[in-house]
Amino acid sequence: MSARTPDGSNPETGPATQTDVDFCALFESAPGAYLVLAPDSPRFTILAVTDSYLRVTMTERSEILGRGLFEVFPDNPNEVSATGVQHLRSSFERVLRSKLPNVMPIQRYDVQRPGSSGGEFEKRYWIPTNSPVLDHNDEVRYIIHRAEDVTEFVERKAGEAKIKLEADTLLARTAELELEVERRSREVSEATIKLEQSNAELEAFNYTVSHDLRAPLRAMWGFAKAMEEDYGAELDETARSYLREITDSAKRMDQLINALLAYSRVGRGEITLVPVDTNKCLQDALHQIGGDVPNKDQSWVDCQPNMPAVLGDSILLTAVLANLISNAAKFVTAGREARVRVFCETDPQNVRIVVEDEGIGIAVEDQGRIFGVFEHLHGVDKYQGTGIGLAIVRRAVEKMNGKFGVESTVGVGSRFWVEFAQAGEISRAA
Amino acid sequence: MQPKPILVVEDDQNDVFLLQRTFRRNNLVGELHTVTTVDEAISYLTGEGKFSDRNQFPSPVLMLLDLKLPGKSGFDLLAWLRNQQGLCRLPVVVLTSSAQAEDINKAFDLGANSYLVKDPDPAGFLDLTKLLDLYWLTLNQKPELGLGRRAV
Repeated sequence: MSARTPDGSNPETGPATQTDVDFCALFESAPGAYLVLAPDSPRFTILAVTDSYLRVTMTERSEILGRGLFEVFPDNPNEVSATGVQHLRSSFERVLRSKLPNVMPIQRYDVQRPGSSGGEFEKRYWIPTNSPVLDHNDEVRYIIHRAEDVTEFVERKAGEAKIKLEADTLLARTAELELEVERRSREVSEATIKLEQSNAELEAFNYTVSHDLRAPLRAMWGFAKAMEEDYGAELDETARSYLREITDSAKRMDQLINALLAYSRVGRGEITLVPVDTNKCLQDALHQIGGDVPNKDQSWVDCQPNMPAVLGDSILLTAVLANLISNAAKFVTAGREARVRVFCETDPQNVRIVVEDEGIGIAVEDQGRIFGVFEHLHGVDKYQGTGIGLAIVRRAVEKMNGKFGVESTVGVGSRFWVEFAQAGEISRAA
Repeated sequence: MQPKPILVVEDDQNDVFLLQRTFRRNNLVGELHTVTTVDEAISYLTGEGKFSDRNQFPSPVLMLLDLKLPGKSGFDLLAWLRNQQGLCRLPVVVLTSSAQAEDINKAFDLGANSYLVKDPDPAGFLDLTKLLDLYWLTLNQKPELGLGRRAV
């Protein structure tokens, strides 16, 4: 848009109206941020500035008039990728060349706080518009630079974009998590099915052992006895001794079947670890083995009173103690009396129950084997047993998340120990 | 003396033989009649087919029941029996191999009167049999069973 250079006169209306208007004051108060620049590229001297512009750039008129634009308004030195100066300069050059206005796209151009306030740069976004003012020779006399502050708008938009990005990320993550949950649920279902299958197999095993293995055993034993009763008088001592061997084997098989069932039951099912009354389990264990011990008077077992409660299962713990104590009583040198001591060692977290004996002891190289199934270190004739007691101990202790072990010297004695977590206070059932 | 017929539901022939031998050798009161399947037992109790001759196949005063049978199990027979009018009163002693808690509980749930485990030791089995004979056939008072009519 071109305008006649104001020299105070207008051919149509006359000088009165125009010259009375204080254009300077008008301009300086114009509602908009304007700069008037000289076309003296590359300096672009600031010739006039509106109050509005001064406000948004935090500058004083006296500071900036007569100085070059880019000298007064440099790029933010902390912004490595600042393009303000470069783009604004390009726009000016375009205006000078084309003599046409140029509207720039949103441009970041940071402004500097006055030195008295610290001199830091603040982030700003603008829509700058640069328009040429042509003289009567159609040469550019001034450039009017208009700057619209759109910082708030830009930051809001950025905020919204950030929120949308976060929302999208959240949605994606949720979808991922849902897939993961689905996958885990499937895994749990499969594991449960496998567990149920394995439990069913164990049930079937127990069933077979209970019924099918016992039937031929009964027959062998029963007929051996029947033979002895019905024909014993006609048999010589050798024949009768054969029958006795059959009977002894049958008895042994019965013991083994029972032991196997007991061992299998220890492994079965989930147990919940609860506080267990150690002293009661010990008494129950002694009661259980009472008949099997040569000396019925339980004074041969010295038990520490008031042992602390442990986290475990009372049935399993009783079985563990019964097996350990009956072993301690059994494996003594012939002719010697069993001397067994049951006591505990504690630390802040755990309770270690120790069954100590003065029996035959176990050689170091054998101490691992003895916890296996059907392991005998000595001839079955020497020390009766199924060889499964310690295997039961091992399984039961493992089920209760405990530890076990043995310290022993041949000819001196052994200390079998089992260790569980402390339980703290337990409530006694009435 | 009144006859005391016992219906033995057992498919293992060795167990049957040893049981019969024990009753015979010890002059026990009970008179054993054996069937080997649940279906046969039901026919016996209801007097069907060949079992209609109550002279040869008298109505029992006690049933000795094994749990593990071919086809239907002892549990199935118990369940059927306790559904029958009159017959449901028949005293049933389960005599079986298993000492598993599940089996014992289920037997009592289904109405067994007693649960005994077959002792493989013949000496133990003899004591068990004598006691069983004395308790259930001599001491225990017999309920009236009526004729075996099917309730359901």
